[in-house]
Amino acid sequence: MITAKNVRHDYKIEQEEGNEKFFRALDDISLEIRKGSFIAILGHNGSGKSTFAKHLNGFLFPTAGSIVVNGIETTDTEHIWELRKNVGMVFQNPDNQIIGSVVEEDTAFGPENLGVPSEEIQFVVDEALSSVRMQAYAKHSPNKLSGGQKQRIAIAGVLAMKPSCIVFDEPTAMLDPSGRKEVLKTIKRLNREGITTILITHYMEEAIAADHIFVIEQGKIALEGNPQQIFSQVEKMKALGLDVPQAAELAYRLKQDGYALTGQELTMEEMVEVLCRLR
Amino acid sequence: MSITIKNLNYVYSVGTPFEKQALTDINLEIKDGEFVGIIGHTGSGKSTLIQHMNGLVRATSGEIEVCGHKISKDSKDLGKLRQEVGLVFQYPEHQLFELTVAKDIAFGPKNMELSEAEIKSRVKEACELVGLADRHMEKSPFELSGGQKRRVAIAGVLAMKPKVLILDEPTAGLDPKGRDSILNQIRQLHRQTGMTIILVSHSMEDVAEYVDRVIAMDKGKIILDGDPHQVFSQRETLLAVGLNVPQITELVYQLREKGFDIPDNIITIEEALPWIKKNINK
Repeated sequence: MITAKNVRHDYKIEQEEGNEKFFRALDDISLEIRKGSFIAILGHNGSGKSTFAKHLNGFLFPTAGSIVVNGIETTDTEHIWELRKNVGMVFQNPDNQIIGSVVEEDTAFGPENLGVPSEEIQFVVDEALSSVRMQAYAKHSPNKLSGGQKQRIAIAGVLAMKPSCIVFDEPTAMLDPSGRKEVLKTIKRLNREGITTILITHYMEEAIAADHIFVIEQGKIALEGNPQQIFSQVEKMKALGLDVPQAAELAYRLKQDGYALTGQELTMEEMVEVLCRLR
Repeated sequence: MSITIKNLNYVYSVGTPFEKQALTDINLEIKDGEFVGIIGHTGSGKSTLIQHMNGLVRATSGEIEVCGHKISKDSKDLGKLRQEVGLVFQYPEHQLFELTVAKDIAFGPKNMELSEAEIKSRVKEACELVGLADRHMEKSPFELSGGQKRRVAIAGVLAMKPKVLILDEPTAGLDPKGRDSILNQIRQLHRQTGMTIILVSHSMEDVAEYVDRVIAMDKGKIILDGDPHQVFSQRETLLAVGLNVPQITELVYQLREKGFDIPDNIITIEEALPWIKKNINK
């Protein structure tokens, strides 16, 4: 579905006469994301995660290397709209992503711009809102909704364009605990329904849901693997300025002290099961 | 006493169709030097409450006294109060505007009409308190990383030497290392200066780790107030109002359900480890 080959991205940071300075945000990134998979990208602020995400729908172009999404090379400006319809983006701040004064009008904005016939739009909008379990709010004003609900509306707006892949760039950073749960549940459900999911987050426990995790550091892939492989490397993750879920940290500490844990326990349920067995 | 609030009520847009009671019968005392965490879902009244503490919002009824200043609907001249109560908003780095880091931090003290020498020394001190290196002083604040920008914004408030520092989600959007480093800096600041600190946060783990007292809010009321161990042992109450307990507290709860001998008021991994070891075999 997505193939990145030796992607490099340099930002121009200073330009004086004949003297240009660059910052290398992505440095030789190669990866493959299969259709329908759930990928998490972790990395500290400034590691290059968001720069990479912006390459996936042609917001940014690689300085060198290439990215191909569903057979379309992202630099192919003739097919850029097809690419953008295919790869939806959801960002941190729901307030910046909602433009309509009524929920269903906001959701209709994408398909309207794509020239979807108006008799079909109602159907597309209903479907998108029911996917995020917000159909009951179709006639409401978005500004009275909670953060989690607003973020689900932003997701519906993306879904209405029928993307095959959605990139979530820290979608829960501004939400309270229940809003975070709502949004993560929605993301997991959409992935089960077949949408290729790329989640960028600073909440390590959210990445447990992924099939595969990439950890980015200074524009390079520093670690990759499934959540068990990644979060059992507690020291390494901390050295990268990241963290592990509390259950994984506890498993690691108990293993260090000689208890019979694998150190790959990640979730609450796994920990409870293992600890009960050790009683 | 830093902050005393008696029977405070606040109603938005009184007399219009949008009238809404945002705070109901708040009674609260915060002593000098306390480190308090406030939790509550979006819209629970946390932000409205902290905005009362420096007079940005005035109570509809009830009394509020902060650092010896009574704040009422017709209080004028709250300049002194606002120097004593520093409020750091969410994403405070969006409010940076000066050409250099040093100038941005000096903005508050400059408005207090202090001498050049005093301003300089305050800027220096504030930078040390938030752990900002000297080499950043002449840079544009916009060249810095997210975490550093946030330090600049907090330093700008500290340079006014407040007695009470209120931070509204100071770690939102930061990576784990940035989050730990800002919170450790705040803890150190609390220990060094004895300043009263109020931290609004959506992260139960951070609240459990750092503060001495937790206030939980729901629908404009204080529903729980106490030591973090006490508050986070009220799992059902917290879940019912859209909050949560730290991940480790949830694990301990589930182990208790399975018959483990382990107290219900555990909030950190350090506290959990010895108890779990008592219950399992090598």
